[in-house]
Amino acid sequence: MSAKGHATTSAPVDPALEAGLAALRARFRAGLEDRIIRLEGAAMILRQDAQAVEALAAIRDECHRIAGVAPSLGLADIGEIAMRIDAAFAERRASWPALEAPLERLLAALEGLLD
Amino acid sequence: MKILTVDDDPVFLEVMKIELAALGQKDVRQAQSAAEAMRLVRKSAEPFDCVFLDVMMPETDGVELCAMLRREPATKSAPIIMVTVQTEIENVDRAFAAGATDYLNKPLNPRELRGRLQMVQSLARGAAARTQEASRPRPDISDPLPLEGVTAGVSYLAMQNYLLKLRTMKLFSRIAVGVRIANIEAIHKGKTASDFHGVILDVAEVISEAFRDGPKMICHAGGGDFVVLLNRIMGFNRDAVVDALAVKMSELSELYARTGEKVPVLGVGPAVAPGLMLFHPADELLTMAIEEARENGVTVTYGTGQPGGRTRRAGLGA
Repeated sequence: MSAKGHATTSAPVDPALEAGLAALRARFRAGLEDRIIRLEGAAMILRQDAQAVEALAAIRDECHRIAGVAPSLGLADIGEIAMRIDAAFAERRASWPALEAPLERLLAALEGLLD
Repeated sequence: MKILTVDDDPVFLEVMKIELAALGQKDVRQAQSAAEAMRLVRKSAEPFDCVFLDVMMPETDGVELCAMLRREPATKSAPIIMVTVQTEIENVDRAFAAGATDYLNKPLNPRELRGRLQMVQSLARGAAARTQEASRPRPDISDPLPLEGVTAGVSYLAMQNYLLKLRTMKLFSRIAVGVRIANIEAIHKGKTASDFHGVILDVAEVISEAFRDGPKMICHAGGGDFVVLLNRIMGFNRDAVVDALAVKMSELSELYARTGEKVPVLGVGPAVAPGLMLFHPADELLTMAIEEARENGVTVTYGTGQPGGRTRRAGLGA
């Protein structure tokens, strides 16, 4: 793995598992641009309209998915940031612009994986 | 084992697949939506042994899908394990009420996954043993039986898992009431497993209906013991429940008398609250409710076709 977030919750125990997870990390990376575009698109809308419901929902959906899968792929740091954003929604304290800073951190971490 | 995994994230589905493969489970079917899952399940000739459902999915979410799968022949008896991030704790109640057996946290922890699979395998062995015994004249009286089709009915295991999953504050908002068939030995005598299960289902439905505001959950704990879980805030009026049970049991007993069946005699325990049990396992609430019903239960009296409703305090031990 490259730079960010390497603490794995599931240390591979056999070669097949390790190979499978490596392939999935590659697949996750390949889909990163789409995830980043979705998140940035939602952020752009929210900068214009902080109450935009669909944009908020898009951020929650994406962060929820990233929080669920990233740690299994060895991306614990990214999973943690996404989990905090998702938790803010679950606890009904998610609002724009309070979400902007953690979202920026998440985007930076995701972009770091593209390098 | 034949396993179904449902998640709207294809990468997570693949993570599940390879983690399950690493645990020796290769027969894994995948669906990315509730609609796709339903198509797979309805096409399946053989039942599934286990289902893993993501909670948060677009359109039909995992909890709704869980309720739908409980109505499908291929999945109605399969353990259903909800896969969720910690932030979805508010969905715990909904999922268990919809028929979930347990929860598994995202991100996936292989040790937790192995634990759930062991539970599933143990349930499958128990179900196979019960199927073999279905035609025998003496089924095992002590087995907790599933309450399929009963309003708010869940398995004993699901209720245990539910209580263990609740956070402390939420646990304090629950109370448990034990209800016992005092003459369970006589009811059980000479019955096949399926006939015995039929009586348990009848009584469970009567109990479920007798709680005016509706129980949160009801389970059969084995023998003649049931546990009803209630919202503490709704309170529990034992006299009112005993009276309602007397009315409903008199109707049921009339039916049983016509077919020469022994009529169940019910006893209702006091409400048990988590209170000072903070340092005990949460599911001990169930054991305490059962013990209270045995030791301090109130017997429901009724005649065939005419409710008695008079109550007396009595030890309801076996």
